[in-house]
Amino acid sequence: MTKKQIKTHTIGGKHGATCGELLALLNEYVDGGVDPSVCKELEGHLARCNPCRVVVDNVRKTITLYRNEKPCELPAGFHDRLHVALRNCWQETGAGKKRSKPR
Amino acid sequence: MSTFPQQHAPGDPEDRDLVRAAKNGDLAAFEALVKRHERRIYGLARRLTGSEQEAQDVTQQTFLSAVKNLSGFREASSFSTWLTAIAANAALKMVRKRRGLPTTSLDEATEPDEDGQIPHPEYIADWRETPDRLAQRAETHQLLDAAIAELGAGYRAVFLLRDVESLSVRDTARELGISPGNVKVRLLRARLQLRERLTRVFGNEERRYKPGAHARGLAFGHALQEKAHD
Repeated sequence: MTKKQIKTHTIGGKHGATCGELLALLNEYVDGGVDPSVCKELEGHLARCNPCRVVVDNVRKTITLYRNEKPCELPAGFHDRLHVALRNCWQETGAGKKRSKPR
Repeated sequence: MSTFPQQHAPGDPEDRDLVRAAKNGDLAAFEALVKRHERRIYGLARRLTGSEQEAQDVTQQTFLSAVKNLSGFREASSFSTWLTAIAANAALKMVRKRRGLPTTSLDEATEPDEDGQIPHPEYIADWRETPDRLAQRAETHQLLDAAIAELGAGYRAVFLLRDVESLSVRDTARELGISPGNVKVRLLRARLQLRERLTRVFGNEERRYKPGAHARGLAFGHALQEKAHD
């Protein structure tokens, strides 16, 4: 859904936003990209619908887990091989014409 | 960028300072940049390719490409984003080549319909522990690896670039050669699929919402507040 569509998107009947409407706007809601009036409708729905509240919470925790994962270790010897290849490439491409010695 | 992009201590030079030094021929500055980003790039490549060997190849290709193209790097984006884009393209090219597919764009033949059905959450339960606690366990990392490996390559790439590397929708679309609408559809499906997989392991079975009722509500687009999910 584009930003323009979000702005003009109307949700919620007399009973408020539905689960389907929440799911359709889940990305924008989690990323904070929904219009305040739509956000209010969605939050009204979340206050009444525990499963949807849990799904949103699960999604946020899923993203947090992946985003905060520490970078994995490099395989043994790979760092050294990589840097040898880089130094060779640096010399070959002339990138190090001005200064070529590592500190 | 991800939460751990800056592998340097406070007071160390910023990436942009090292980039400028490297552009002036300072190899040590470039090596400092590589050291700062090599684990992140390797991790991204490993998740995109699912192969340790291919991840090493992608990582090396990425930094060699950075050497060759450094003078043309205009710094419109951060060095980190620039590297991420190079690595993602190299990894996806490798995956497509391995599968015997054309290497020009991402899953052209299998692009999902932007208006297609959204998968319904099936297993709905609060997690037993916080992400911080879960992150301290070795088995969590294995589970995260396994869950993301189950995603299709196109979904995996969108999730990693958008949610882990924090590229914008527009940048993710540009780097993957797909439309912004397609990024959003893939991201939603990837998030929901990962949520489903992780919740089946981390969810509290005793506090699980009855399967079926919520899915039916979603299918028919009905508000479920009247069904009293208690």
